[in-house]
Amino acid sequence: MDNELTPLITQARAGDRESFGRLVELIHYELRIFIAVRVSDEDLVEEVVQAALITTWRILDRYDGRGSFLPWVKGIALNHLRKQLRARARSPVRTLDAIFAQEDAAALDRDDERLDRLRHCLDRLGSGVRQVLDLRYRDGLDLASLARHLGRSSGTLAVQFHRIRRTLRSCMEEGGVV
Amino acid sequence: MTSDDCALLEAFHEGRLDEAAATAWAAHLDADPLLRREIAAEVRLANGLRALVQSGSDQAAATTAARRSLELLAADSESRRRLTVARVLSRTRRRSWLGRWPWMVAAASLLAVVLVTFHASTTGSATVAWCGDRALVPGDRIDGGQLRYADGSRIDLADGSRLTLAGDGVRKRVLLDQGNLLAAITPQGPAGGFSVTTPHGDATVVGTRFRIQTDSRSALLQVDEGSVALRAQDTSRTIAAGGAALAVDGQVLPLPPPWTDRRPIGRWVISGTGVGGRLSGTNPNGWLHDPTITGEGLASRLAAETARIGQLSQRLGAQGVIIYGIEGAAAQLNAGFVGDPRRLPTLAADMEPHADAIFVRLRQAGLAVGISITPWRLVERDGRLVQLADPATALTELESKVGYAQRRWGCTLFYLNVSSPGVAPGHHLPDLAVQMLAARHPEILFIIENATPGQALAAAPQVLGSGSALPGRVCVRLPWNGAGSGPAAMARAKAEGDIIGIDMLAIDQVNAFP
Repeated sequence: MDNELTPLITQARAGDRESFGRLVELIHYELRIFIAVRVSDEDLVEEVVQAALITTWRILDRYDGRGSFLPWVKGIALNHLRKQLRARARSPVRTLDAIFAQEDAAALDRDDERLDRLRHCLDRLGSGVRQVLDLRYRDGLDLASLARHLGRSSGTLAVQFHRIRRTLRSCMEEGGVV
Repeated sequence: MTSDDCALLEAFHEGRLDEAAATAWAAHLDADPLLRREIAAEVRLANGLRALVQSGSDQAAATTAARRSLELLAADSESRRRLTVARVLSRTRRRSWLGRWPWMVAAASLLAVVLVTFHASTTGSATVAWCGDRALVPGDRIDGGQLRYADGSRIDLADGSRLTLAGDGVRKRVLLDQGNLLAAITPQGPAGGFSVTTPHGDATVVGTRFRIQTDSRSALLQVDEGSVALRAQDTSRTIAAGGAALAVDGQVLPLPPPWTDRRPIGRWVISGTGVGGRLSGTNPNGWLHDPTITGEGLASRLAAETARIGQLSQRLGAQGVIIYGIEGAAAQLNAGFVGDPRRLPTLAADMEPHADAIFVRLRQAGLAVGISITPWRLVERDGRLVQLADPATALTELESKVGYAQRRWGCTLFYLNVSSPGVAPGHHLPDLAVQMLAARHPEILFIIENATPGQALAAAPQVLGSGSALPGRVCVRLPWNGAGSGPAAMARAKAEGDIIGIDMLAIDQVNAFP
């Protein structure tokens, strides 16, 4: 990917916003899931990704070309994320946002390979389970609609999703062995 | 984690936890560090899954993100420029704090507008499609009616059918919970697409016209234009225009195309009660309808008649011959055509040593061979054999009988006799049984008595006289049977490309064949 990015970085550094827009298109997906697996609040994911992209534009001339571009941007995103989580955790009111932000901050530096292991563990799930995950997370179907479609109760389905996630987490902790 | 925690987690993940529930749950989690840590880990994982399972080549989302970034950059640059200007101005002349304020408000407002727009469009609450005047969002359910998308794609949902909307305006997805739909989808760009998910399989299209229907057991896809990929568990097939396929039991089974060989088929009723309507003691199975045939003479008579049938069939240019009643006439009085070749050794012990030679001779004459079978089980009731019409076992019975006849005689033509004495009206052969049978045996022509439209998709319906054929599929027409029979029916059969069934024992029918 870096071969594709290098000329765009050069042009973006010269002030070419269209080139920067093309850079964003190329790295957006990976950057987004890098943050998403570390955060409980989906809105915060979007906020951090956009803030990271703005900062990347502003300090693009500091990228010296040593090391890949995407990890550099991920580092910027992580800094933004830390700031946001600290700010939310400091809230005097113990809201869910504040509670999860505190836990997310504590877990933040724990595991850098989490995403790769999640990909690997996802691939090892059975096709039936994978289809249900696709309906829930890719197609955005709410629990009630999905339960109705599958002929199960919402409560049963909620427990089943918990079990699937527990299986994935066990797999990730064991280094990708399901 | 309790089941209540699981339900709360899902509600939180969907953003529909109300304030009271959120506050109560927060207090609960605050008091339990272990539970708090576990739930936070699950929510992070759910977020990661959501991001990960969304398409990795989601160009639309990436392009949108790029555009928003550029908008924010523009707003950011403008606000920074105005702030710089304001600072410069404040050095040169005194400005009240309120005097600087309008510039900062304008810049912040622009940023706020961009961010609010960005946020609203990512929360998934935008209208995806319409049904009449009703604007629909993901999760909405529709019972019948027409679904319309902004790009002109539409779905007609049959009465009694139910569909749940998913996806968005670009990546269109619907869940067909029950019933059937007809979709006309405008060509989709690389970032878009349309898919239908049923309990048994998914169909994905880029731009086409197709129908899909689902029930408790299967999903049936028919493609009118374009092509559709049908996926069930681990198998996927692309079905082209004019084709059809079943998703059943985790498999995708393409239905065979219409039978291309339109040559006539000879029908040979090999056993019966003959002119007198009774069976004789010397010929209890009524072979060749001749009560005078004795056991010793049966072999030579069968050989002669087989040769005659073969010659007549060749003269007609027939593709093959179907033999009715190979199991003999003795059981026909109660059971009708027995339609079970496996019973030959017990019901027709006198035919058993001669049957193979009949089929061999016909095949040596270049003819395909077949028999009549029933989908029902033969059972004994009050000392008599009767047909037990059980839809649940129809497919199993048919598979077993077809397999026997195929292995023993090389049969590739089968007439499915559905109505029999003792089978109550209303008992019908399940469409799915015919579709699965045909999908598993594309080398075989199945001819169905009283075929339904669903069965006609997979096999050839039998049509009598001048009766109307079901559209889109080849039929086997018996021009000399039923209402409107005669030369006109024969002419219609020829004009419409029907396969003509000829009674080989009715020489006038043979002679009348054009």
